[in-house]
Amino acid sequence: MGLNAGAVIAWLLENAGVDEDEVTADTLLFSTSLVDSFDMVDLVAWIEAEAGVQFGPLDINLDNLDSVERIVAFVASRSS
Amino acid sequence: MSAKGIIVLGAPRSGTTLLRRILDAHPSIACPPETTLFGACARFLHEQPLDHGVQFGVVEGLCQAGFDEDEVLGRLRGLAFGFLEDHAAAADKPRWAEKTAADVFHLAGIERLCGSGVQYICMVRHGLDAAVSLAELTEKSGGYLAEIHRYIQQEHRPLVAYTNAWIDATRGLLDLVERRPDDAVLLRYEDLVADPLAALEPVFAHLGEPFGPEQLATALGHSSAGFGDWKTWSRNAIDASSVGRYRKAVSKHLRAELAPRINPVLERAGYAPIKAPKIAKIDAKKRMNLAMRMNALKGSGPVGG
Repeated sequence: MGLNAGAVIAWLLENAGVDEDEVTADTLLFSTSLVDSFDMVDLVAWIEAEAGVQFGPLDINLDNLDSVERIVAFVASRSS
Repeated sequence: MSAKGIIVLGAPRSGTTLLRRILDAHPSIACPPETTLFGACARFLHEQPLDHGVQFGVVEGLCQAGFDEDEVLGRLRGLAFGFLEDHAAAADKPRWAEKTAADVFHLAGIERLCGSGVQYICMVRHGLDAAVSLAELTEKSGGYLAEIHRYIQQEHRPLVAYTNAWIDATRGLLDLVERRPDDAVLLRYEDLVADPLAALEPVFAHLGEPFGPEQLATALGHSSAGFGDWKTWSRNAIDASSVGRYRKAVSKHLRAELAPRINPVLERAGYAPIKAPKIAKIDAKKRMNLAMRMNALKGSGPVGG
């Protein structure tokens, strides 16, 4: 299963208190404190359930999680 | 009728100081900074129930000394109203208004004292915005109102405690408006900041006083020092920037927890219920490990402090 940017952004708007004008595909989420660690944990859990991928301990890093496009790319790399 | 005093009631951080500025700028109304008069009167009237329906307190005590309840309440009312009437006279205005944030926690005593002898303006604001703002005020001022203490005793998480206080206060206000439709009018903070003139029109109609754009302009340029919201004095325009702050300040876990309790009161006050976000079902140990790993990503900063 894949994951598209629109679905991730929709999740952020609905669940992480992010406003529509604050987030695009390349907005940095965690390193800028736009999204806090509690919401990031829920985001990871949602990605795992939604996309059918598992994050291993070493996958929890900013390269894979700090923007919508990085998340989508990570999921795509695991789905292919 | 039009000479009645006006009491502004609202849960703390509901915009009542802004309304006080507007009232005080009116040519016919003098509304001093918070006097705490009516809360003090309500405490004066506080009673403890004893067996056989006896209320142990000043009214019953003075009744035993030959003063009936009407006499006691009349004298106390005369004391409180007298200060406010003198204040209004000194400002060369025919009417007084009073606003003290903690009064909302003394509704029963205030209503007992004032009854239909005053007009009530009941102001409400979204409960989570009010709670967030109260948390901010508490942090800045280094303490909270004594009336909030029992909520803190019951709930160690400040936002939950302040939300519980808002629920009780707002229920009381809505009950008052329903009970006294001729004496009380409801004003929502969000309506006031979105369109002040439209929101204030029915309020001043209820008071029997004229109101127009020129009076609003006067209000925002008008100031008098005293107890009340410190923020309002830094502003010379009404704006809606504080509406919906809770969406960022209250975690979705907390919103999910509070939704069942706060939503019935929000809806009764005309607000949309808050959404109870879906909380991901994650094993607690896994959640903790994930959170620690996420926090470690920010671990490049200094330790301590």
